[in-house]
Amino acid sequence: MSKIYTANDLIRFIYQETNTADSANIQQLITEQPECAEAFDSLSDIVSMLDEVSLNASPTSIAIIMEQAHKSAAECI
Amino acid sequence: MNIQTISDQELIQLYLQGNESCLEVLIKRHQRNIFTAIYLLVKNRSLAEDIFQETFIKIIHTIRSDKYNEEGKFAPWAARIARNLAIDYLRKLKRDVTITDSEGNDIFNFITIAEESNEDRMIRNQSENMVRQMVKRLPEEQREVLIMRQWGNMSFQEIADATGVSINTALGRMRYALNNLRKMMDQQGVKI
Repeated sequence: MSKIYTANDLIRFIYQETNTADSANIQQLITEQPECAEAFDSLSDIVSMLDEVSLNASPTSIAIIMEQAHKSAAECI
Repeated sequence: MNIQTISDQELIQLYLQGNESCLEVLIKRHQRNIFTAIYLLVKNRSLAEDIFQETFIKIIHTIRSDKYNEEGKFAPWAARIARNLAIDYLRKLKRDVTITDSEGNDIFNFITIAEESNEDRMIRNQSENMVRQMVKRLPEEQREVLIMRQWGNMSFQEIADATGVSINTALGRMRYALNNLRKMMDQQGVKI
């Protein structure tokens, strides 16, 4: 493994944007190097917490959009 | 055919053929991520609802006028529209609000803070809310990249293109955002 990986590569790996070869190499680094594993765990933990953050639009907003869609369809007829 | 399991692209095609319930499924499938992204950008629930409506009305017009050509990429495309509308609105608001207080401070900042505290009061103790508040406190450039990647499902390259920076800059901003969130969590004793 001659390629040097950076913190940016680790972020791309966490968000599954690395290609197969890079993913395998980074996974190997995480397994073999404690500091790399620590950085990976730290970033992954934060991303997991962010995954929990979600809000719903109000049903009224969805109803308004559907009403507009209906009007828009009626105008086309 | 189970309408809940078919692809975004198929839902769009069926909607164009007159099946409005397919549009509703599409909206409900993506509303959570899109709405969260908008809310975290504009930091105000009522405004987020308006921009959310505007986003989907724009999406509908684009689909109906046969200008939609993002096959298989509905989510990032929708997130891009939402982001542009949110940024436009914030720019307009900053331009329009020129009133300052007696000490010459821009009252725009105070308006934002006041709106946040109302929401904070309702769900202050929830850790999800704490994380949300931390995201809101990130510098604008970092917050934007984080929101577009996390909730907008845009790739780092798509974010770089949308914001006019290199992919390394977008990744660097994301890295700073995650590191800053980690620091804030440590300071506030948020357990991960």
